[in-house]
Amino acid sequence: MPAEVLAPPLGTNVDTLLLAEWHRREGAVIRAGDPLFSVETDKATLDVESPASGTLGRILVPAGSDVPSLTRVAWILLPGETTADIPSEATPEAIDGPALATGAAVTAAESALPRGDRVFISPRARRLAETEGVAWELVAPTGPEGAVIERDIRAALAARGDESGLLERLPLDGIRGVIARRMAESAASVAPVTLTTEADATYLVEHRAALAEQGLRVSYNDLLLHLLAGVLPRHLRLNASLRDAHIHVWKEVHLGLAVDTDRGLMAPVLRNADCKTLVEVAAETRGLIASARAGTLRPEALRGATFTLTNLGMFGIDAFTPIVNLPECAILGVGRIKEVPAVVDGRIEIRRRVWLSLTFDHRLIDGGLAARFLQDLVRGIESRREHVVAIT
Amino acid sequence: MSGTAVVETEIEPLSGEDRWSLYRQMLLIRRFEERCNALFLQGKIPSTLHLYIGQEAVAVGICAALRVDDYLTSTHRPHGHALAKGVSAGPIMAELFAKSNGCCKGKGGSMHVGGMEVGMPPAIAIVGGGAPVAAGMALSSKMRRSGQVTASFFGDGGANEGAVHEAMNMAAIWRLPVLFVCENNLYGASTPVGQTVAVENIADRAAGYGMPGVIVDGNDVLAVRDAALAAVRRARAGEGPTLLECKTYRFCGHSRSDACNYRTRDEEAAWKQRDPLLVLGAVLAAAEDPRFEEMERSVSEEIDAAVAYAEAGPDPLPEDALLHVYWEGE
Amino acid sequence: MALLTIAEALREGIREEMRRDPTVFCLGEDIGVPGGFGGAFTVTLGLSEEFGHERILDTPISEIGIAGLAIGAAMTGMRPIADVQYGDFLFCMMDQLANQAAKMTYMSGGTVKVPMVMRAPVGSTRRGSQHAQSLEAFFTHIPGLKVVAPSTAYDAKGLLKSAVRDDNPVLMFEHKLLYGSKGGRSEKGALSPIGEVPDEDYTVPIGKGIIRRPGRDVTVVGKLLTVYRALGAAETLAARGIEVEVIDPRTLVPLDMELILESVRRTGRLVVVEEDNRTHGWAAEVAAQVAEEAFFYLDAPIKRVSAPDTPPPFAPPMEALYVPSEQRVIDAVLYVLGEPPDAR
Repeated sequence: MPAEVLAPPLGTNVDTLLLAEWHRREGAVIRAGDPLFSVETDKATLDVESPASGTLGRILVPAGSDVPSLTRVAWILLPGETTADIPSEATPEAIDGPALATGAAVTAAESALPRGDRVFISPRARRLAETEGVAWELVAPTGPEGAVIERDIRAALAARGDESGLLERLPLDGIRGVIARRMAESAASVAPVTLTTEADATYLVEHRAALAEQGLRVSYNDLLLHLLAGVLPRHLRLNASLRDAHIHVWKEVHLGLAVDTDRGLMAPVLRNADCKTLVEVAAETRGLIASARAGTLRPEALRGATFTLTNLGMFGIDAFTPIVNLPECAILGVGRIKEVPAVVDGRIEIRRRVWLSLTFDHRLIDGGLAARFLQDLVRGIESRREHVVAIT
Repeated sequence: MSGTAVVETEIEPLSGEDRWSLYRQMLLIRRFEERCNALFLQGKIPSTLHLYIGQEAVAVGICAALRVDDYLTSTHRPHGHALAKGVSAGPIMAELFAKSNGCCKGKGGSMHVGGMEVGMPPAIAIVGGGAPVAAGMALSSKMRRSGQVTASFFGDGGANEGAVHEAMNMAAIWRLPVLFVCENNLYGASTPVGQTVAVENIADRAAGYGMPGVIVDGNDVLAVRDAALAAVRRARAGEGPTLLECKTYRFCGHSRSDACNYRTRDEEAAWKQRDPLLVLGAVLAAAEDPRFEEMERSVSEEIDAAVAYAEAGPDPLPEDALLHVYWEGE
Repeated sequence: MALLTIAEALREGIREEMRRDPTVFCLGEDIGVPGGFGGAFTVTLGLSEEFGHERILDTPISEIGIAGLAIGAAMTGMRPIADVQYGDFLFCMMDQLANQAAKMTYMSGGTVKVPMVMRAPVGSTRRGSQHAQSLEAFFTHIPGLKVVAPSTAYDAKGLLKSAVRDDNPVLMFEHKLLYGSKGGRSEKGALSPIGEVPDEDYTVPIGKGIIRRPGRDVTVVGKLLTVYRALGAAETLAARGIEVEVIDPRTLVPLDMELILESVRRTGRLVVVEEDNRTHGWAAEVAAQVAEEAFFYLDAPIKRVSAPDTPPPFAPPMEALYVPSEQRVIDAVLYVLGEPPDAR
């Protein structure tokens, strides 16, 4: 089946973008990664690369159009395919199929999105559909010229069943939509394995306190990012991503940091973390978090991570299983640091310990590599020397 | 009562004082129009102008026979009619300046000046269009038994409009109190009257409507006044309309852009010998009489005041354009 | 309360206004001649007996003069009601209406008023091309004129009185098939609606439309004869479970857009029915305003049912095609509902 080309999700609050220019014409031979078209947001112009190698089979959205993120804009024919292989638009028979016989709105996004040819809807019906959150492209039209009209939306609503206990119906769009899609994609394609281990973070805590005494305020995340940047170059198979059926191993370390914002989860990227001092890491991370929360991140600040850190310690969580941030290979989840009795040199002491959860995509690496990486990281966290070096 | 007639002589002549008054009115119109021309060249007046210079005796002579509550319909060349009927020079000038204190609040312009307080609705610049309206005003005064008379001005060009024909016929059948005043200045814009009228005199057509047609020397204000007074008396007596053809000449072009290449300089010079101011002036006094200079001064002051009034007036607001499409009350 | 035809209701309205106000008078062709018709459609029949021939003034066939006289009289204290024998003759007096009547108040900076009424019959009635046109779009396009179009006896009398009392030129379009003229002046195929008309003085305000039949599915706006075409279609469709709301604006300038918009916001569908030629027509203006003001309420394209862009034809089969029929209204309603058209 031909590969679909989607308008990219651009993070932040970008719902639609302008498809500014097609760099290639229909029929052009392209390789994965070639710039295929450019998009504009109010913030930036970006080139979007071809997701596959083959022939640009059909452009669905002409240049100059506004398109929602993740809208299919073209099909790429893989070797041996022709335009006949492009899935045809949903036929009326399909729409009148069993799922819709009762007027039910199809909710599975893949069933008919979009039809290729434009689906017309009356202004009145569109207003109602948007208010009620009905995916009108999927509703069987009965209006003049085959347009979706108000009664079609009403029929879809009636078929929703009992909603008397419903508080509100929120559209799965914007950032929520992007997150939903990426999570679903990750869950559907990744072969996740999560390794958990507990590390002694006493020195980490002491180190942070010592820095504070010197007037340098850093967060645990800053310390962990800095440590990761130090450890990852020794385990580059985890500093990798899967693209076009190839494992891309990166020599530079770009660390994503999951940030909880009012708009939803975002992961701004600390670029070239392996070349930065702790002070630089702390300063830059503070800026990224602030921008993420303010909604002022540039789209490129959300792209290109090679590994991601997610930390729920501040919420009192001990351990969890993170989901891999595609197309990256692995993600580290960090829990809270808490005081526990621990055996040290045969004696019970009160130590500060932290759970680490490393989820990796088993398609890219095996458990041994991942375990050795985690071990190395634990060693870094527990080593007084690592921290002394870091201070200087 | 049909056919072309010479004005009856039972009209009592004007006193000397009244003749000076007519002279002053003609002088006011002359100097007003000359000032307008100068102001146009200075860019103070934003529209073209149809100047009345040369025809002053017609407006002044006709209006000398009218009461202030009598009506008048005018044409695209209305400044002289308005001044003669009693619209003040200031509001007329302000209208030409497109100011909100103009007689039409800046909505009329040169071709639509008027003042209903002296019986003159906005001048009707569609050639011949005023004649039926005048007949309607006359019908109204007849029905209201008010004794008012309406003078309807049109040119030799307007005489050929169907509207004038219908108006004359209706005024004649109902004996409406109208003076149809044809100012025959010999050219409809550039076209000589001989090309557009088959009869020798437009007044000859009166017979066809069953009303008197009178030919008057339109450059002799006393002759015009006497003829008008006779017609007005007929009208007030319920005897119906009269067609007065005033033979005259415009000394300027049809409008500001007209160089008058369709007529000869000899013809113009000959008519200037018959300048209405010279014609009446000769009757009044010797040329060196100091009263002429005094009158010039007084007229000049009146026009200065009118210009000052116009210049001081505020521009209308753009959104005033949206007002008065319909009647909004007194 | 009396049951009157529109011609009778107009006559009573004129009579009452002339009794009430001595400045009101009528002028026109063949309106008061003893032994004559009382106007082409009998509206002024008998009025000259009560008011005399000065106030029911028979004119020569001079449409420019009729209009001009009305304007001049209106500007100077009278309230004329001018009778245009056929609306088509309005073209003869176009300068007087468009350049004089409509603009005097404006050009005078609001100091001159023109309180006149011009009554003009319209509608295609087997008279060929020059005695049959529906001219509403021409005159609703002229700022300064008010335009009314009564379709019932009650509205005819009430609007006539409002028009007489209005201080602006008011053009009243009347439909030949609605007059209910009798005797030799009766019309073949006339609807001649008879309606209850109060005996006491009343007016119908200029600028207020009315819902002739409420319905929730489609808004159909008609005027004059086409109100009845719309009502007929609504009746037929009601039997099929389709509820059509029929609106009669009654006044065309100023148009009661609020009434139309409110209805369209409810129904989401609009059909405009007119006997005017289609292109640049009256219905086009209604459609445009609804598209501008209520676009997001529309559930279907707006449809016009109009006369084709031809002169009115003479032969009855051709005329039947020209004048919007009930079936054409039904087809338009079915279309905007997404229903298949009726089989032919």
